[in-house]
Amino acid sequence: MFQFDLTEDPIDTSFVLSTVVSASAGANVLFTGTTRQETEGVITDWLEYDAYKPLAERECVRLYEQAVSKFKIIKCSIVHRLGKVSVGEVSIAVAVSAVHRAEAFASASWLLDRIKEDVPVWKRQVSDTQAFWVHPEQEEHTPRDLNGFPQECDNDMP
Amino acid sequence: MRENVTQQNDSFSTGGTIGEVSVKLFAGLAESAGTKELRVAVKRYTVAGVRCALEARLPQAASLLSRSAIAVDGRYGTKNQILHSKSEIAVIPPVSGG
Repeated sequence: MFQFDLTEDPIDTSFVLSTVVSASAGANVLFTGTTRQETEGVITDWLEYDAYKPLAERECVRLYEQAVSKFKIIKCSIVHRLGKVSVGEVSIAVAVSAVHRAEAFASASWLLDRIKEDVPVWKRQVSDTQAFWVHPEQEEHTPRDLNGFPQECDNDMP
Repeated sequence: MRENVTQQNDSFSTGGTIGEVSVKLFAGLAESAGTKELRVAVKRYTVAGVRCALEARLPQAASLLSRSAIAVDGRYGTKNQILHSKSEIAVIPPVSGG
């Protein structure tokens, strides 16, 4: 069972965790990511998130299916906040349940790593001196490589 | 560079030459372009054709575009994928969620 949501509202982490509880599971893991006050010496006032919702949901479903195959997880819930997220507030919650703790911990960590590389969500870091969208260098194995580049363009047209 | 495009029943009816497509932009690309949706003239109704059109239209975003993927109808597209008249096209710069 998989649940996914993108929301402008504060994330109810207790509820997210409750959605993965199962009689079959002996381990339930909840990860929450929060807005950090300081990044590389720069004080962050808040983060702002945007997403391409259709692809974000499709990618999370794909990751869930991979996690089921790889870690035999039982249930999973992924909720990502959109819009302004102040320091200390939760931007993402990932909950998983599994028969044993090793699979639950490993799958939650793996899901977070994949979400941060494959799922089209973007953060804008805002401080009193600057504001910029964060676009890190990505790994080579992400789905975006399917587009193929560089390429030759005959751009003499308007 | 020319490329033959196989026209399908619901693809654009321009003889595979020139037309326009709407493209959704996000994050730094939208900021650089000054808009979240852009109409661009394409020479080929393919993912590669859209990429070429964007490179010409947004030279100030060349570096970010080169690291971006193009999605078609909510899926990551492939380079030679043919676009259709109702295709929803989105440019996906490197992600930073979490």
